Amino acid sequence: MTSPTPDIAPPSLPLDMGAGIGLKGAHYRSVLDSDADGLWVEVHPENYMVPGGPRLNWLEAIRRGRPLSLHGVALSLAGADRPDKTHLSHLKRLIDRYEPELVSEHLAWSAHDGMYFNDLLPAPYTEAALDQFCANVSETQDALGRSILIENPSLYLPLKSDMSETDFLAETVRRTGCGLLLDINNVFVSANNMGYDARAYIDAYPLHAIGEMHLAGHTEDATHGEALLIDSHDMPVRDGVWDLYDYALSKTGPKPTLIERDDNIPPFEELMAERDQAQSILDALKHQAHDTARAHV
Amino acid sequence: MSDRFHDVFAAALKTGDAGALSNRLSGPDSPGFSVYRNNVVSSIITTLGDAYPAVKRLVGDRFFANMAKAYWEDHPPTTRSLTLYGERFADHVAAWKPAENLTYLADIARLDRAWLDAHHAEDAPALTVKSVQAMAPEALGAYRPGLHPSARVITSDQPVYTIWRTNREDETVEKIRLDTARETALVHRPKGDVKHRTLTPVEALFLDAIAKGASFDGASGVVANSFPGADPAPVFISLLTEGVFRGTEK
Repeated sequence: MTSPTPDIAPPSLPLDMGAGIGLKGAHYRSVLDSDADGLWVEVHPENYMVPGGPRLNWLEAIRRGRPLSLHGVALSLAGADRPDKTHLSHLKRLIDRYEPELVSEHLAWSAHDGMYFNDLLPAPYTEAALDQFCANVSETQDALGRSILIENPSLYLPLKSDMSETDFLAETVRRTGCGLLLDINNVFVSANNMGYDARAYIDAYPLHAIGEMHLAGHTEDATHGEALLIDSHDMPVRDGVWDLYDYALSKTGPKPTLIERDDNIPPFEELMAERDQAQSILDALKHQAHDTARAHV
Repeated sequence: MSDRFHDVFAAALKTGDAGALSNRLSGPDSPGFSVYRNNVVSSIITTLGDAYPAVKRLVGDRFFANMAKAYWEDHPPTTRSLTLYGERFADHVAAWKPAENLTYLADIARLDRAWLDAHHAEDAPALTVKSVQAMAPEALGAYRPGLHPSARVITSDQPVYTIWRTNREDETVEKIRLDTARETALVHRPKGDVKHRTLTPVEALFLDAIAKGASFDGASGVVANSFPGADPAPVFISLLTEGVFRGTEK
């Protein structure tokens, strides 16, 4: 891989973060042994909130050689409550130990009234919700001592709202200084399920704040078919999602990109072939940027 | 306003009835609600299935899913990490009517749980032969080590270790006669991978005394009372070598 010269490297792209994969136990050894350029890994920090054991040691060994992203699912930032103090302290401990390049969470809630739901649940996009969400993001960033990225959710229900999701996110960025994780598959799924145009969503999105992108597979609902797509993470990325990714990158330039796969986990080589596809798209864009810059010298 | 939305949605997730959500929707139909409800329930079934693989294999996916869903209804998660969720699952299995003929199933769940707990237990040094050799004999006799934080001892009236082990490890399970014997199993992780084996009655008694805070001499005395003529020395040495006792070093 050619290293872009510093003056043309987009500032949000660490030099060694190209295309990464969601790290699974079955792939620990293979990731550790891999010499792929640009490879990085992402984990759900909740899975590493354990007293001890081999999982923590594997992550430490892998992290020594690869950039790391902690992608939380349990902070419930769009909940009615403030972030859970105990959970924040567990997250801070992991951040202190592993020093991840990126930390992210969701525009969603997953806990309410002492019960944890383990799903990314939707909230209406209202002024009141925005106030609460921004307060929660700020409180989190203060507790962690760093900024975080916020991911757009996959939506299955049309909730009454006062503003668009992209406006909600843009205002969150403005008020809290957080960055964004653009999940391309979620845009594709939500646009399909809610009946809006995916490219128009990208056009309206605060692209300058993107620190990471996600790609994943989705499936059709067993009953409703294509009318209801499910963000299932159990199959390869679909063609329409690759197209939307190209469209987004054409506006943003290369961004660290993750292939998410959480179910029906394929052999490491198969997952890496998909990752390599994203890596070659990012490489091509970097070369293009490099050539353009040279042409202007 | 925001509070009420979350109250209504959370209640709908618990019951599966989305009726009260209808005036929160901007569209006419809400087939999508079932996606959230399914995600919540199926993630719990998957989590418990990963934590209790031998139980799941013994009863099959469908039976396990019903048992897991009922557990969730009684004991929804209250912590944000599900890695150690299902702490009371064995008791739930013991009380689960449809499984009442599977008299060994709750102890299989205890063994699955012991493996999970040992796997994620605090990394701590075990008592070493070297540090024991450095102790004066009286000091060693009076020493109360306690068990290594990963160590779990599971006792059953049935051959549950044999059932559990074959369902965890073998592609084709062994045929096991239920009336063969009672078994006590040790599950622990001195370092690296989780290890497990059956314990002899003398070993089981010795470890039980140590776990309850006895000194080495005290545990030997307990063994001598119940098994006159048994020599606790080789029991002590083999358990020590396996790293079952908590270490002295930080």
